[in-house]
This record gives sequence, C-alpha cells and structure tokens, in this order.
Amino acid sequence: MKFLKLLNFELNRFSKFYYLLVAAIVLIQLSLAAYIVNDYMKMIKASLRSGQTMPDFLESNGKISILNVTETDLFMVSVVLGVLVLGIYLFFIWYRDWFGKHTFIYRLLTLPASRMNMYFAKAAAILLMIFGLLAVQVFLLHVIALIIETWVPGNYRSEINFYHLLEASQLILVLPHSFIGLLCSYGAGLVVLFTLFTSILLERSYRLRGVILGGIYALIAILVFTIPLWYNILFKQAVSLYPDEERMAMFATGLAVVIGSILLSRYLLKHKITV
Amino acid sequence: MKKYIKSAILGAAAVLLVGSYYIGSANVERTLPQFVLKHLEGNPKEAAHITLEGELYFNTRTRFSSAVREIKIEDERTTYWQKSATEPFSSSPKIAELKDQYRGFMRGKSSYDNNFYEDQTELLYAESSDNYSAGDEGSYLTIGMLNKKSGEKKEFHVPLSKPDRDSYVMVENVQRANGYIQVIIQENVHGEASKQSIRVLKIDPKSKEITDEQTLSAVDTSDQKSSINSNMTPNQNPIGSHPYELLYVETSEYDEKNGTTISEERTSYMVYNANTGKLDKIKSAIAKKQMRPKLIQGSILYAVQSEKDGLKVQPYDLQANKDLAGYTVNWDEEVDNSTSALEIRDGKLIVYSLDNLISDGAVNSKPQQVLVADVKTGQTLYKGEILMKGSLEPGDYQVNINELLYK
Repeated sequence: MKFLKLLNFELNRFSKFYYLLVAAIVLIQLSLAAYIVNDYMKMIKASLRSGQTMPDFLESNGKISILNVTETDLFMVSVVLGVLVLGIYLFFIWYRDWFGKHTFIYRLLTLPASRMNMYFAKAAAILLMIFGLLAVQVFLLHVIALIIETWVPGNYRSEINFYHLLEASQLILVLPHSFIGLLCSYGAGLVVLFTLFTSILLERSYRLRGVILGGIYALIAILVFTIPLWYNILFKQAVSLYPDEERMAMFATGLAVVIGSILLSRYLLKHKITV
Repeated sequence: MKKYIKSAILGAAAVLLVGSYYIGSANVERTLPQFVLKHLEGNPKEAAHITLEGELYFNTRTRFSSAVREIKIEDERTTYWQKSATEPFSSSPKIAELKDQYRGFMRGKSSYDNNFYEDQTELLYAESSDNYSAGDEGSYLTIGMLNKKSGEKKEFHVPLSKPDRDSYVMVENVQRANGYIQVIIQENVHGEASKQSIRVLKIDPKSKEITDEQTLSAVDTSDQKSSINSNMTPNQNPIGSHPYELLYVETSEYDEKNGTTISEERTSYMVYNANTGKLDKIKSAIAKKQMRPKLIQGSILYAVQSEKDGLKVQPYDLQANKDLAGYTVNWDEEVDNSTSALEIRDGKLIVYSLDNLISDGAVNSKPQQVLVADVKTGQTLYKGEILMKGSLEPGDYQVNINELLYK
C-alpha cells in the first residue's frame, strides 16, 4: 500500500504539467492534421476547376494518407517534445525532493517503510507517464485517420492499411509496429531509466565525487548492456553470435544491468543517503 | 481506493489503448494483398513447381522509404513473413539452409554463396580480410573446412600480397579440384597504377600454403572515363562443384551528366577449367557485341540477347569449346541484372521478371511474368503473370522478386 500511495503522490505532483503537455501535443497534432487535409482538399478543388482529371492530379500529388501528417517536421516536434519533457522529468523527479521549496526528501526518507518503495514509485510514475503519452499518441493517430476519412473522398485516399502505413513512418521509433518490438525498445528504455536513477543516487551520495562515479557507472552499464553488439564486431569469426543469440544475450545483459542498478541503488538509499 | 484514481485511470487507459493498437497490428497481416500466377499460355500444371520469393513494398509516396514484407508467391497462394532487423538481407536460401544445418561451422561466416563450396563429404569456406594490427597492413584468406561425416572442423589463414593500403580482395569462387582448394579472387588495386585482376589460388590443405597462383584476367582501370571490369558469369549451382568458369572484360562508358550508360562492350572471352587448370580463349557467337553471358549450368553457358521477336538464347559448350543450337523464347523484356533473371531447373529454362518498377521509381503497369521453356528447343511450356487479387490498387504495392524456388 505504501508503494501505491507514493506512486499516486508522484503522479499528482506532476499531473498539472503532464496535462499541459498532453494538451499541447493534442493541439499541435490535430490542428496540423486539419491544416494538411484542408490544404489537400483545396488542391483537389483547384485542379478540378482547372480541368485536370483525377488521375492527373494523383499522378502529380499522390494520394493522401496519415503519413502526410506524421512525416512533417511539426508532427515530429510534438513527439520529441513529449520525449524531451519526460527525459528531463527523470532527473527532476529526484532533484526536486532535495532542491524544492521544502526539502521533501527528508520526509520521504523517514517514512516507516522500505526506502525502495520510494525508488520504485518514482520509476513506476515515469513508466506510467511514458505509456500514458504512448496511449495518447495511439488515440491521436486514430483521430487523424478519421479526419482524413471524413474529409477526403475515397478515391484520393491511400488504400494501404493504417498499421502498414505507420510502419513506414518515423513514428516507428516511439511506436514500434510489433509488440515484440515494443518490448525490446521500452525494455532498453527501462535499462536506461534504472541506470540513470543509480547515477543520480551516486551523485546524491558522494556529491562532486558522485558526479564522476555516476558517469563511470552509466558508462559501465552501457558497455555491459551492449556487450552482445560489440562482441560480434570484436570476435567476428568463429565465436560471433547469431541474431537470435544476440537478442537473448541483450535480454540477459539488460536484466543484469537492471538488477545491478536496483541493488546498488538499494545500498545507496540504505547506507549512504542519510537524513 | 478513491485516492488512487489517477494512477488507475492512467494505467488502464495506457494498457487499453496501447494494447488495442498491438492487437490491431497483429491482425493486420490478413489485409495484405494476395498474388497469384495467372496462366497465359502452355501447360498450367507447370506453375505448381514454381515459387517466387521477394519483397512487398508499400508505395507510400512519402520522403521515407516504404515498409517491407518478405513474400512468397506460389501458383494459388501468397505467404508473408518478416525478417528480423538483425538478419542479413543478402542471405540466399542455400546459405540460410547451411546455417540451420551446420550452426557451429557457419558461425560468423559471410552470407554470400561465392565464399562456399559443398559436396557430399565436405563444406569449404574462404573469405578475405585485412590485417591492420601492429603496422602490418597485409591481407589474408581465412579457409574453413568441415568434414560433413565426422564433423571435424579446421580453420587456417593464408597470407596474401597487398600492393597498397587501399587495395582489396574479394573471393569470387571456391572449388575443390585434384585434392587442392582452388579459390578464385578478384583483386582491385587503386592509386596511379590502378588495375583489376582475377586470379586463381591453389591451396594445399595439408601444408596450408598457396602452392600455385595463376592470373586469369587483368585490366588497367586507370581510365577515368570508362569503367573496365573483369567479370565472371554466375553459376546455377554456385556452392556445388562446377569446374568451368567464363571470364570476360566489360568496358562501359557513362554519360556523366545524366548517369546513363552510353556504350558497353564485352571482350576477351575465356573459359577456365579448374580440373585441368587450362585457360582457353572463346571464339563463338556468344562473343558478339549484343550477347550477354548469363548463366552456366554444368559445362553449358547460356548467353542471351533481346530481339524484336523474343529473347535469343545461345547455348555454348564450355568443355568442347563450341556453340550449340540456339533458339528464341517468348520473352519481350530485357534480361539484365535488374529487370529479369534466367535459371535452368530440371531441364527447363525459366525466365522471370525481378521488379515492377520503372526507372523513375513509379510502378510499372505491366505485370511481372514467368516463362518456362524447354532448355533444348526453347518451346514455351508455361507462361504466366503475377496478378494481385481483390479490389486493392496495384499502384499502392510493389513486388520485387529476388529468388526462384523450383519444386
């Protein structure tokens, strides 16, 4: 119950800013979709007025699809905005407790429960917010597809399936097209999250020395996690890994980094960070 | 519990929306277009032997390249699958089969047919590498040997000369002949005295040394205006035993402004026999300007030439060094490396279109075709074309065919 309380507490603390972020993303993406669809419709009307036939128009302009919206720079800015804000929040979630108006960390550390509850609550809050944004993105993609479907006549719309179109999109970086891809991408993200949390706690434990220690730890963690990748480059012949073995090895090294990070963080929270 | 409503809503919404997206995505394969081989002429039963493998592209007309699916087109069935992002795209079906069969031996090996030789008793491998360690800028060949019966593996390195830092060596073919491993390499030397040569190295597997070396072809490539290449004709059975190789020099001149080829000339036709080590000049119909040496099967070379009434096929016996009776098959496309391919399977000559793109990247309205003809007479046994089923627009999809499997 302590964990849930702390998780809810973390979400509440960031909720206003989070709603603002979601509102900004919704506004950018929907207005962009409306603008692009409206522009395309104007082009159709202008071409029909000038006596151009539909095949001629499609030959020079192509059919419209969700990619006309998702492949614009402004759309990607809205996606990067979400990634960037949550990336900054990953540091903010810890440092605010020390440097905020009231040094809240002392209250958190003196709670009559394991300090790891606080650690996992912060990690879970960030994960929930990431998946929350992902859910908003999925919802928005369906809305954009609906806008195109409602406004543009069928002959001018691409017949390629919505999901297949998105495979050709830059969005694949944040929304992989298969569930396995999602697990791999966000699994790697989880490794980065726990590594950065440990680096932050190292800095908080040893202050200036901790910055160097945190940097070294992050470097070691990245090296360990990517062993299967550089192992194949170093040992090309005879001992290199097959793609399926490489994936298994990446899973194992990722798990090792996560467990190592949690254990080190536990030690730091228990013995090094004092009230 | 009311206190946790925010966490609960956020968690539930995330799971529901992201979950529904991936459920939808998992079921989307059934919306992919289905292709069939539509019978045009000949015996429709011939189509049952043919499977065409390639890729399906979604023609999204955006600045990003289209997404891709591996596709297998049979007479009445289309199968899709997706290659892992880490799998090498160049892997031929034969290499994939060898990797499944001899996982230990094939570990870390290249994915090119040219690097392998296989017979009933052994599997051989040769690959060239550069060694930059400790200031030693040499090249070497890695030779791998697997005894298929005992499972015994051997590997050794053979040093190669390296005329300059930028020169490089590629393995073109590996054969086993007269107890030796014969590796045909192409060496490219850059700089002022740039040249390209094709050499055969005879390697003794016992002493692990090169015992003999022979230059089959060498051309000066320092002329900037044209490109000169020593070429070897592909073999129908690149990994198996095939003692005959056809070599020729190809000179191409380009228009630098629009990047098109102005002229192409093939000269110096020679046949090399790995069993005897002899290199003979060829003087035959295949050395004509417009003839294109296309494929070797056994000791027969098939050269082709596109003509108004079809594709002229000129077989040539490399062993006897003489032309065989030529014929014309019912095929009206060019048979070059990018548009159509030719294969000989089960005593039949098969020609098939590789892609349905025209030069500017637009989709060709003419469907890709497959022709099966008698290899001795050129008589059409089957002709068909790849057609998309249903109401989907062909222009939204592109099919590139890479391989033909013959059952």
